[in-house]
Amino acid sequence: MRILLFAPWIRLWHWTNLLFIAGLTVSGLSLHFADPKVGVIDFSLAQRIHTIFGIALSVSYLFFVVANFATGNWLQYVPRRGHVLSDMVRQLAYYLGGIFPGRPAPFPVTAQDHFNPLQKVSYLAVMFGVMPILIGTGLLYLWPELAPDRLFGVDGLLPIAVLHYVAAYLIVLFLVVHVYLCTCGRTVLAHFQTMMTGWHEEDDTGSP
Amino acid sequence: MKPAFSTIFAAIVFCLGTALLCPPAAIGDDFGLDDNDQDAARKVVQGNMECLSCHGAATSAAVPAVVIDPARPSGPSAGRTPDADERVARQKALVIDRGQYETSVHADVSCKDCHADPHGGQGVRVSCPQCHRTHDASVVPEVARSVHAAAHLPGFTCFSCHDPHNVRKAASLGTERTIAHRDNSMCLGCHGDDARYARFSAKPRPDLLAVHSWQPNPALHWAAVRCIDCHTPEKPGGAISHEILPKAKAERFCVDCHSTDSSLMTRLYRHEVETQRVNAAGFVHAYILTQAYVVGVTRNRYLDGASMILLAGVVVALAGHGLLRTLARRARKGRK
Repeated sequence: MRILLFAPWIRLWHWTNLLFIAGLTVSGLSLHFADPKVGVIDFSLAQRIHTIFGIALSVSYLFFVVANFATGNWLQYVPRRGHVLSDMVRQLAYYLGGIFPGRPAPFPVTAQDHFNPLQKVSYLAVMFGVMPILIGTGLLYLWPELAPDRLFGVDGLLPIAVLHYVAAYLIVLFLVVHVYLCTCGRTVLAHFQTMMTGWHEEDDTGSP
Repeated sequence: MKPAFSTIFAAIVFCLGTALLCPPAAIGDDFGLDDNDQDAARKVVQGNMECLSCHGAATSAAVPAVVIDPARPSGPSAGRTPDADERVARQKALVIDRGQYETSVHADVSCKDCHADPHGGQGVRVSCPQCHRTHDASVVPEVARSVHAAAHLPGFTCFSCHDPHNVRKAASLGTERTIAHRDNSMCLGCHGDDARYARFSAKPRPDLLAVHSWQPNPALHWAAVRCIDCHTPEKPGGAISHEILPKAKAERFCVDCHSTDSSLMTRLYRHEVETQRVNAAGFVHAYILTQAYVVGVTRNRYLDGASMILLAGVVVALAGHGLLRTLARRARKGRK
C-alpha cells in the first residue's frame, strides 16, 4: 500500500537544501583548507559561492521553519514523551543487529508517524539546534561589523569562526550518515524515491 | 680709536653665545662628531634640542599664535587673504611634533645632517638615498619602477609619502592594526583626499571602494592589512619593496595570504614570526589571533585533525555496516 508521506513543499525544500549544503560544503572546505597548491575551488570563487549559497540557505531555512509551523509538520520531529531514550536505543539496536537478519523495523513508517525515534531526535537537533548556529555565525561573517571586536582576548571573529566550523562539520557528518541510512529501505533507492515522489511503499524496514 | 673694553667684552660674549647656541653649518662634523664618538648620541640630542626649542610643537607657543595656532579659523571666510593662509601653511610646515620626532628612527640623526643652513636660505641639503642607499641599494631602483614614478607625477618625492620627522619601525608601533592604520594613512593622504590627489594628477581620484569591489569586505581588509601588502611585489629577505604596483599588477591571488604558508608572515607579521608558530591550543600562527581571524591561516590543528579522523571513522563504520548488510542479504537469499 502506498501512502503520501511528503508534501511538495517539503520535497522542494529538501532537494534545494541539499544543493545549498553541498555547495557550501565544497566551497567552505576550499576556504578553510585554502592552499595555493591543492585548492579544490579557487579561493575567490569559493568565497562568492559561499556567500550566495549561504544567503540562499538562510532564506530556505526561514521558509522551512515558517512552513513547518504553518502546516503543523513540526510535530513529526517531536519524540514520544517519556520514551525518548528507550525508543532511540530500540532503533539503534535494530541498526546494529536486527537489520542484518532482516527483522521488521521497530518503528515502521505510517501516515501519522513519518520518522523513527533516532530520526526525530537528530532532525530536531540538526534543524533547530545546529542550523541556527550555523546560519547565525555565517551571517555574522557576512556582516563582521556586527560581531564583537574581541572575545576571550582574541579577535571576536575567531570564536564565531570555530563555532561555524563545528556546526558545519556536524551538518556534514549528519549528511553522510543520513545518506547512508537512506539506503536501508525496501530497496537501496526506495527512500530516495520517496523523497522525490512523496509516496512511500509500505514495508517493514521502517524509515531511515 | 681703540674700542672700549666693554665693547670687546660684549663682542667676545656674543661670539661665544652664538657658537654655543647656533652650531656651525657643517655637521657630522657640524657638532664635531664622528662614528667613534661614544658621546655622539647625547650630543646629537642636545644639538637637536636647540632646533626643536623653536621648531618643536611642544614649544609652538614661542611662534606667533596668529600664524601657527591650528585651532584658529583660517581661510578667506575668517577674514584673511589667501596669502595669509599660505603663510600659515608655510609656517606650520616649520613646526614638527617633537614627541613623534623623538621616537622616530631619525631621533638620533642631527637636524643639521639634513638641514645644513636653514636660516641661511639653504633648504634640505641631502636627499634620502644619500643615506638610505647604504642600507638598501634596491630602494632607488624600486622607486624608479614604482607606479608613481611611471606616472611622472610632478613634485612627487619621498616626502610625498614619508614624513622623515615621523618615521618609526613597524615593530615599534604596537599592534598590526596600528601599523596598518599608520601605513595606510600614507596612501590615503592622497588616494583618499581629492585636493591632495589633484596636486599630483589631473585625473579624477578613483573611488577606492569601487576599485576594490572584487575583494570581499574591503573595509575589513584595509583595517587589518596594509595597502602595500598587496601593492608591492614579494621581496627576498623579508623587506617591503618600494615598487608600488598599479592595480593591474597588485596581488589578487587570495590564497597568497589566506593559507598556512601565508605571505603575511613575510610582510605585515614578519616581526612576529620568531614567536611560536602553533600555540598550546593548536592554533597555527596564533599570534595573529589577537589582531584578526584570517580564513585559511589561523586554523586549529587539533580541531582539523580530530574532525577529519572522526569523519573518516564514520565513513569506514558505515561502509562496514553496508558490507555486512549486503552479505547478510545474500545469505538470506541463498537460504531461500
